[in-house]
Amino acid sequence: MDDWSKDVKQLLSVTLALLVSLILVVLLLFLMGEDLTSLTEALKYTFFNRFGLGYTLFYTTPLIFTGLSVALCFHAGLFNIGAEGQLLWGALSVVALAKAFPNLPAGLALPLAFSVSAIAGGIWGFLPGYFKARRGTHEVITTILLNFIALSCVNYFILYPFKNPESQSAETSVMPAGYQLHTLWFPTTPVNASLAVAIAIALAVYVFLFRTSFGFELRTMGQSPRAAVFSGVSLQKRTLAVFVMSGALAGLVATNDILGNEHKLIEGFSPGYGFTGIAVALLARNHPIGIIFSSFLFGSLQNFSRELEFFTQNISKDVSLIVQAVIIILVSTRDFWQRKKQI
Amino acid sequence: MPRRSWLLCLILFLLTHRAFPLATQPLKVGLVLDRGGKDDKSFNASAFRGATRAQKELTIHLKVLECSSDSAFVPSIRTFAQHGYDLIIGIGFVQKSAIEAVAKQFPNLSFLLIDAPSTLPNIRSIIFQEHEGSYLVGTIAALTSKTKSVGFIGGMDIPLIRRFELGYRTGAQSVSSLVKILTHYVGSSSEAWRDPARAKELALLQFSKGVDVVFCAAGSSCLGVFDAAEERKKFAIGVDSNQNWVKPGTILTSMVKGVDQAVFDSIRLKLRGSFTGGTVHMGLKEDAISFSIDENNRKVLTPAVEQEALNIREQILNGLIKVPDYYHLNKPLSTPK
Repeated sequence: MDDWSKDVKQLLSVTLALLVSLILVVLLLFLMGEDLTSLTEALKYTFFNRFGLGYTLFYTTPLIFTGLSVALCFHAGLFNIGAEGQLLWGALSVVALAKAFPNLPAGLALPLAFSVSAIAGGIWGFLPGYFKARRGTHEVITTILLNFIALSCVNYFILYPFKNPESQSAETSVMPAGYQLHTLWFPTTPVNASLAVAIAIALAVYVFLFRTSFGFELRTMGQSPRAAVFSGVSLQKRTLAVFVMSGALAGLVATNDILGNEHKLIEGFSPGYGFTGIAVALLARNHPIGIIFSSFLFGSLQNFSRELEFFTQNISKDVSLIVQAVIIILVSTRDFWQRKKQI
Repeated sequence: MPRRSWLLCLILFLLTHRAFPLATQPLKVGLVLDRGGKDDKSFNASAFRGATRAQKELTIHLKVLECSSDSAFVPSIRTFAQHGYDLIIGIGFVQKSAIEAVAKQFPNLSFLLIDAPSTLPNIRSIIFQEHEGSYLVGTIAALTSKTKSVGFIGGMDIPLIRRFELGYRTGAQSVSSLVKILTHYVGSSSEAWRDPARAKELALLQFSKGVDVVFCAAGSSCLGVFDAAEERKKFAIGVDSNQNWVKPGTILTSMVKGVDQAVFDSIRLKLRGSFTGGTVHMGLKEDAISFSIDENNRKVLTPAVEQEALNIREQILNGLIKVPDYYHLNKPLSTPK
């Protein structure tokens, strides 16, 4: 009962924060001498038609994966700043798979690509887990550094072995048809089946964390490592396991962006999904179901800022970034609004 | 009180913005810039200039979108297409696949692609003969150099930039076979277009080896090369836009690529209804490639050198000088389709 009223309060404060940010956006548009219809149009093209909603959902999917990846580690008291590197390896592995077995039928190729991307991400997640468990190296340092290594290695593969010889851009060749996930329900937008997979996985992570003994051990470990040790949990094994799982979740981003959208790996395809994932997880207080919604918020902001730039005259890319940042700050400091109400 | 004034403002605002309905629907043109952005003082700036000129002179509706990452091209282009923009312009070879993907889905709209060829019927693609202009600035560099060694700094190591390099190298060596040419590339990934710090280091390295004129074809990275040249009192040659004004007295001349002209002309063609697909080559003959002379470099580019360069320009136009084209060297990586 108490939990329920807490949820309602949370929902109220988020709504309040969103309303305040909407008012601020209106004020900004007004100050910049913009037409107010630009706001309604931008909102329409973010939520209320197929084209807009399709893109919003497309931007949501990778954030669910990276948000879950970060949140899982957070529950165990660990920081995974390395989702960016893990998702890069996931993307590269999918491209490599398509190169190795170009003629697989979609029924076989797609499940295989999903697993391979998760495995590749998991392997890259294993490394910081290993260093943490065996050597006690702080995972923030190792994951950040491993991001740079991943970026350079993956760029090497994009620029040399897998380079598309017909293109001057830094990109790989287009993958065979069997590896292409196609748009569902939203024509001309790239939203695809991996959104459903992402939501299913979010539910699975919820069950795992809150309904299994393994999940319970992880949460104990996060809240009090000593208590966990005393109750017979092996911190080393759990650290390794949680990092591998986190890496696998991040690796799955490739299914949305590579299998579902570009069908090839472009240098710098991720606009920082791994880092936005940290904000997504924090906003949802690391709750797996909450992450679905906070990803949707971030995804819609990404789409909304482009649409706002499109519909207005003076609002540039930079101003829409400011708008984005203001909304995020307002929503993430929602406790402020809540407390004020309680006084 | 503040609440009332806020309301008043809102009412006033709603009244004014409804007061000017559009008489006729003007031609809608969407411009998608690459990662350099409209302020790169070079390639994108040139396209932006052409488009804004069309906005002023031809009364079109223009909207410009800048992309912060390579994955933002398709959504931006598609947004324009979704809103029925008549002409959508993609600047730079990196947008080729994005433009083609959207052009296939919207066969009724027209697209302009700069720097990459395409065979789709609704895409007009414009290829500049960069090697011709690079040859010219190569001779200018070699004629001006006191140490008889000149440098080239390229952005991303790709056939397009190799084409600049080959023209420049041939031009410099045509002055004297004793001229030394040093070549460096900023990088092999697209970050190379936006890394002025590294470009500056490379320029300083070349200067320390005796180079005194350097030609830079590296987007906004070139700003670092100009800095280095100013510091060491050497000469730099700008690229794409007329960059003489960026550092007057340091920039010897600029190899101007008429992206602005190409953009403007294509918009005008579309307006007149004579826009066609296909690949168009623009070079010295079309005056789309040139080297710039204005009050900013008048003092550093001597009349004798200028005269010589103009002579060579004539000879290229007459076919007396054949400038080698990297795209036609038959190397496996060099012929983009």
